[in-house]
Amino acid sequence: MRGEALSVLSGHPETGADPAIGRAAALLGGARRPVIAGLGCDVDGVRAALRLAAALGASVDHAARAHGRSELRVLADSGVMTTTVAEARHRSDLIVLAGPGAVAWADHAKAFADAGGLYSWRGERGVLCLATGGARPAHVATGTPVAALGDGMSLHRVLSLLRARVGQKPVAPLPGNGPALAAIDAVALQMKSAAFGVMIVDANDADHVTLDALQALVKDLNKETRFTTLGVPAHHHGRGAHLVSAWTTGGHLPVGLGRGYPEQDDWVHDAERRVTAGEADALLWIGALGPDLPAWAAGVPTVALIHHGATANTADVVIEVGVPGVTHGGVLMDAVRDGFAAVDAKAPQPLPSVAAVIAGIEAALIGGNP
Amino acid sequence: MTTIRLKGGRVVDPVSGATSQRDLYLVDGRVAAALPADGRVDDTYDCTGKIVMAGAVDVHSHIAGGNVTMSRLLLPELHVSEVAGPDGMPFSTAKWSGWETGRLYAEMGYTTVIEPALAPVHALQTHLELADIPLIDRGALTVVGNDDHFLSLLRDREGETAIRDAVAYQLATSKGLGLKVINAGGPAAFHSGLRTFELDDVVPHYGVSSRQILTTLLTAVDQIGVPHPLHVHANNLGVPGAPLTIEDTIAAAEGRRMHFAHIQFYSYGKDAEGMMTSGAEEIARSLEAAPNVSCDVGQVMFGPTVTISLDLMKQWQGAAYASPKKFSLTDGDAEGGGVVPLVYAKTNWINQLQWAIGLEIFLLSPDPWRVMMTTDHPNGGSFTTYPQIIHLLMDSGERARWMEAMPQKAKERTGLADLTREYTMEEIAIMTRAAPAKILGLHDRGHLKDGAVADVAVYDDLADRTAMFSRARYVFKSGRLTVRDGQALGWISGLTSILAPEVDTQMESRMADYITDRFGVGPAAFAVPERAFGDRTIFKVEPCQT
Ligand SMILES: [Zn+2]
Repeated sequence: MRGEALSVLSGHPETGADPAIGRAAALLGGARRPVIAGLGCDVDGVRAALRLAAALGASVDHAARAHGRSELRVLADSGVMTTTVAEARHRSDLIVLAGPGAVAWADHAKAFADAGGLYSWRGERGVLCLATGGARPAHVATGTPVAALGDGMSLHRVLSLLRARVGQKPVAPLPGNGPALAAIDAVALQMKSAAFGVMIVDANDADHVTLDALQALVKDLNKETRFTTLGVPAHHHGRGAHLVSAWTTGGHLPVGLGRGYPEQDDWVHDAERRVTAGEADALLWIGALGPDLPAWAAGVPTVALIHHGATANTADVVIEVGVPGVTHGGVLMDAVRDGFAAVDAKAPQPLPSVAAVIAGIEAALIGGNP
Repeated sequence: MTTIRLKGGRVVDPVSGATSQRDLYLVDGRVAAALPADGRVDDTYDCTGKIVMAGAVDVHSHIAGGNVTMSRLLLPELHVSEVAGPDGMPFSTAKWSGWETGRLYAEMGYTTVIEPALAPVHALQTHLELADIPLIDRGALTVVGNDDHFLSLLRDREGETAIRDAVAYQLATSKGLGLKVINAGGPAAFHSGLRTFELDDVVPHYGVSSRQILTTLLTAVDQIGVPHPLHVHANNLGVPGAPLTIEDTIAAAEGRRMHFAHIQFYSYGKDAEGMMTSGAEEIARSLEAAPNVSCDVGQVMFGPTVTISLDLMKQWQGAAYASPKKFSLTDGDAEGGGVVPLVYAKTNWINQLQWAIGLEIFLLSPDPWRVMMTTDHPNGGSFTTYPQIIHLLMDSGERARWMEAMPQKAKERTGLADLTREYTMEEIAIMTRAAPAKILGLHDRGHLKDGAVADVAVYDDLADRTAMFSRARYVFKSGRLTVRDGQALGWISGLTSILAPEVDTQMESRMADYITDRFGVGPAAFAVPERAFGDRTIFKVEPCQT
């Protein structure tokens, strides 16, 4: 595979990947504190990246920061109740869209575009928007008018008010321009009355404190009925990458392998922080599925694995790689069916996969740099 | 041809005959009773004074899959890595990683481990994780009985053939080695708001009882020819009075073969005040009277651990006792799963009683072929405590020492102190090797007969059985030396054993329609194709019974 690859050096196309792989190995192998980041690739790419990181003593991070830093942090801080897209679609009689990102995702993924008819006993689906800033879904089937609360408020504030009223606790005086107590109580009652409510949230809309409040509200609701949550999928295969890291290193990303064992630390091993603070002396950027090489990468010697059409002008070595599900088969987390799925190449191209390029770099490290 | 001679060890293998001092040959990955005709030996390992056994087989250990990985993400503080591993073995000391799991099992002499909760919708993740567990062979049990498609077949009174075909479809497409049911109907009832579920309770909206689900699956297992009996996680796990549930469940089986998972958790009686006592004697009597039934113990060992289960109802109840105070609960497309951390404390009389009850079950066991060693890892404790359990079973003095720390309240509720039985090395070999292999239908292992897979563990014969079984002197996996002096030597990959029952084409198209309606994507998104593993060879197909 490697021999067939096209590659570019400093933005200029070059044929034959082997020389580029040799330069990549020299750049990374000579570094004392390398960082592997982006990590937008399939399961085998992540496996290979972690293995290379172990060999180099590198830190590894993924670009989907909100997922890693907020969602997975809340999971580790206080736990979560979750469900799947299909269960939410068919079983839920109340879909709660918490924050504008949830509305955008519901419309974009069209996960609730039909009523979902698998469970004949389910009542009509209600839809409730919390702190969505006025956004309402255009492609969510509902049997009743969409309800809303707190369009002008922060999600955290709305969740706190609801949690108080679900628990029949008093709330502090409300601002004049905020919702009336009766409106909050009506929504609290709507949530308590659901047989299987699902609260959807995009981690990009919420810090970990807000997500924690959301989970606390859901746990409270479960004292009397069934309620759970669904996270908007992380971008660039973020969820898949974190899961591969969890079974490979024991924990989620970012992880450092400089000491011969994994160290999970959101701050220490944050790729952007390491590079901008001058703690990293080399970067391997993996963007088979995107994202593009960020501006902060300009400050560090960089090897970039990018998909066709992407640019990486500040990188020292650029290797074009195939895209899983497009030019290559592979395994990706499928956001609709909520699990890993094997995908085929739709339009096969003679490009190397991320895993193949990394295997080549590893081999070049072991074999001595050319 | 490669021939390895294990010279002069005490070979403990009740399947091939009485224990004796003899040479054992490993020829091209298989056990050979005699030296091959050419007489050439490539390597000789001096086993004088050592115990030679088949590689051990674990019938029930949660080592892979979405819920196991959820536990990794939930509890970073319980597994902070702090020791560097040797070069060339990346992640070998990464706590709770698949790599560490493989290494730790291998160093104890285990060569095959079964993950007991393969959710069909997440089969690919489980198999990806299993494939990243080195040094051991693996297999997984497909979980059925709580999904909407199956329950709808029962509700609609479809015939045995349709049910057999649907179950065979799940088994084949998920690449399982057997079938498991979890609190039959309970998780489905939990989705609909129920919080308890008994054998004759009915799943809301389907009108189907737990008993019906169980007996339907017992029939399907036989009709498909699954070598492993239905693996049953019964109703009422952890509930005082559950020995009655076990008795009723055995009666419901009407003589058909059945395996109870982690039976210790069902062995709690109650006294006049409703307080927990040992129900081990009732369980032992039930097992004695039912030769069609096998079980694994699910021994509780002390320390912090995490419970991982698809029994949502039980995990919701258990969440109140979570330590540290956090849990996850996933309403999945069938069961889903719950992850609840807890501590089994030596100072807690109930935990001490659980520990004692597990040992009672081992010691009252009517038959080592039917009562196997597990901790239901990690639910009762880590699999790394197996050597301690063997020690406790082989040495009544060791038990007495542990019991000194036992609170009076626990002591008076268990008959453990009166049990003098000590397991023999042969019984250990059966319980940890021959029996689990046989019950899983893995006839090429668990013993050292001519032609068996050359999975062999060699131990120093130490009075300290904990030390002896913690660090094998040598371990061979398929004839390759993987462990020396208790240390794994490098990474090699084992295989995942699966069944490949025939799938009815009509059922295949019915399932395709159902899956597309349910998920909006077709069955391909749920498949476990070999190409998902790149160049690696992962699967070994085991035969179904005919
Ligand atoms: Zn279990």
